[in-house]
Amino acid sequence: MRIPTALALSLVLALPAAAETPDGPAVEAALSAAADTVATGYERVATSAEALVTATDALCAEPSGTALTRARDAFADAVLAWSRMEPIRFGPILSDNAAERMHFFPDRRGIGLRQVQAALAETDPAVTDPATLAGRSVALQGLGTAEYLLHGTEAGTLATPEGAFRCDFAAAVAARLAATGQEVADAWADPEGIARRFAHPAPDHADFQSVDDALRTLVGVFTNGMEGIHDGRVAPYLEDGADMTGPRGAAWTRSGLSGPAIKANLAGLRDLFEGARIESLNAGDHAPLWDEIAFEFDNLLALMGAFTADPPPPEAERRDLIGAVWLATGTLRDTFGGRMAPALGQSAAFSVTDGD
Amino acid sequence: MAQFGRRALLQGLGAGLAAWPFRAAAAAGPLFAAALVEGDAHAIAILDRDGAILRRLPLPGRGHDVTQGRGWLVAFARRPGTFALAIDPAGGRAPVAFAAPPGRHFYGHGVFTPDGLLAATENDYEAGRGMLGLYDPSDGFARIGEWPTHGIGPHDLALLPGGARLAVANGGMDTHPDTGREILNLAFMEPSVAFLDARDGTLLERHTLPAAWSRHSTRHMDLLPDGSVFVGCQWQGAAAECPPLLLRFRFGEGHAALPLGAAERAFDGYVGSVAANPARGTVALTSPHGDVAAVVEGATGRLLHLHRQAEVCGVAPAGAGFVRSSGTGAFGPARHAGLAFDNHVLALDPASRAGD
Repeated sequence: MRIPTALALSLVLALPAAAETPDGPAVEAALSAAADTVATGYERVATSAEALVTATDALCAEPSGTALTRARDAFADAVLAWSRMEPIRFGPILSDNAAERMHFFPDRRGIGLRQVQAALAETDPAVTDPATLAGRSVALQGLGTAEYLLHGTEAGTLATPEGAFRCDFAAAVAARLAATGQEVADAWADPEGIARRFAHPAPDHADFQSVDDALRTLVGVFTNGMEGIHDGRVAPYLEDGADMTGPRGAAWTRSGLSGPAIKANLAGLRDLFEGARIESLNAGDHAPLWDEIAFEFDNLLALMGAFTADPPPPEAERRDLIGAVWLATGTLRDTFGGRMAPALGQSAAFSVTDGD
Repeated sequence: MAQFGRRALLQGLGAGLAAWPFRAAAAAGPLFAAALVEGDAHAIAILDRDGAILRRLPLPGRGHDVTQGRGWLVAFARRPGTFALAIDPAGGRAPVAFAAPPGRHFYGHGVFTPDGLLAATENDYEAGRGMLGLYDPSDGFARIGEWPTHGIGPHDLALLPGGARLAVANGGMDTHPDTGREILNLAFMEPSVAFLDARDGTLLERHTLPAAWSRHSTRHMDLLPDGSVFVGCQWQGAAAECPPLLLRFRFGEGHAALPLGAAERAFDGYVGSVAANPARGTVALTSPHGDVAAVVEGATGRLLHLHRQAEVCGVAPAGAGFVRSSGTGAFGPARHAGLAFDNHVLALDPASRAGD
């Protein structure tokens, strides 16, 4: 008998995956809670960027040391709000280079720095208007540019009328950050948008057609997010002779936010883990695993708390602390890929998180 | 990053060398080669279509693809690895270990040119450009030159029928060993398939993708005797915007998308391996992210078959169909507990088996 292709496909697709996927109301509740956590995080990004707009506008209107300090404080808030969301890479943040517009990093080739320095040297009028800046390189309209303008060479001129062009540039960047942040926050707040498709998968969705799709994405956020922190954010501290306040290759070395941003990265993933109440999916069988993950998050946040304490601990102690963070982030990455994934019915063998 | 020198690698091979020589031609049925990992041990294996492991040789790190030519089988390190190991399946010649030069790493794929050279895709990672390293098997696989691939992040490649042209999938993703798998140029990716003169590397044609597909990394390929090159992609954007994952390129024509319809989403934005079966004009593609394999008709792209299998990735033509391997130790009908096959399977041709 010849089975029509469409029917044959539906039969094959209906087969369960190798491991058992959690199902039912508990899963949708967990996915809804995860979506709420993500949406709240992006709201915070948009709000903090808007506060940066206010602070830079005030600085440009009346330059002063106090106004510059306020702008820098608002910048730090924006960096930390973004850093909480930075490891969570799915949905609208991947559209139209939104993540890179927020922060173009890593930038091994120094593209962003070259562009911002050139724009300053040429007093390029296009970069002081958010509308024209939007059409320029993504590397020029994010937090990295804002950091250079507020903390880089000659940033002190911002406190004086002499820094007018630089200030207008910073204000335009802040406006672009607010627009990008709002764009992503709106997409997550849309009642018919990503949050609904993620929490209530259905075959007619382009992205989340099944609970498996959503859970696989969720597991990927934790695995890939932790790997990114481990490899890209913590590893620069382990180089020979690395500066414990902001080693070469780390983010936010000019503003001194390298360590706090890593702590915020970890806090963002912890928020998602707790917010999604993942333990509710399979509490009976895997309670020790969820406890272990929660413990590791607490441990990591405590380590980063000590690392970023004011006043900072001695250099040798900071090295030990960041070394411990490196080990623990690696362990947690492996725990997500090797143990959390199968606990949620997802494949866990060695290639699951690879793209190659 | 570890560099594997020839001496160190050969020392590491140890007793495996003595066990290697075998008369592949004497074994029954078609044979296959694949890289595998078992615990901390990495190896290349020769298997029959029933999945029985006939021979196994240790590798110093994780292997990826295997290629054949001039009587050699060559196993490559997975990116960002730097070692390669050439084996004479007829057993007449000692294995030859060689390495990518400083500042380069392999991407895990290579092919023999009509002039008998081995062309391997490599990353010139400081410059961020793709290269084909040329290695001479008649001189101990000495590296005798290189050709640019005219793109970033070259991955798989193939020699077109007739032997005059090479097709190279420039995946477009810039990575650096210092930052792990982090993609450094997501906002500026320009994936392409380049056709090069197989004699001198001259660029003949370069086919880029539409601007909206800039995050669609061209990665794996195989071809049919009519010169159609089938390329499996990896989508780095939002899942809701994922383009068709299977593209067909022809010299002089550019690309055509071969949508998989309702089955497309099952691949989770990633094709891990592509294999064509000239006997039937069919093309298989797999996704270990989606635990799914499909077979399409090469001429039309019509989906013929969809198969669910945990961690399925390796695939090679076998008779009228295909043999598949997985990250959970499956190879054809066999299940090897505790063992994981890497992404690719090579069907050994009779010439290589005889050692010609």
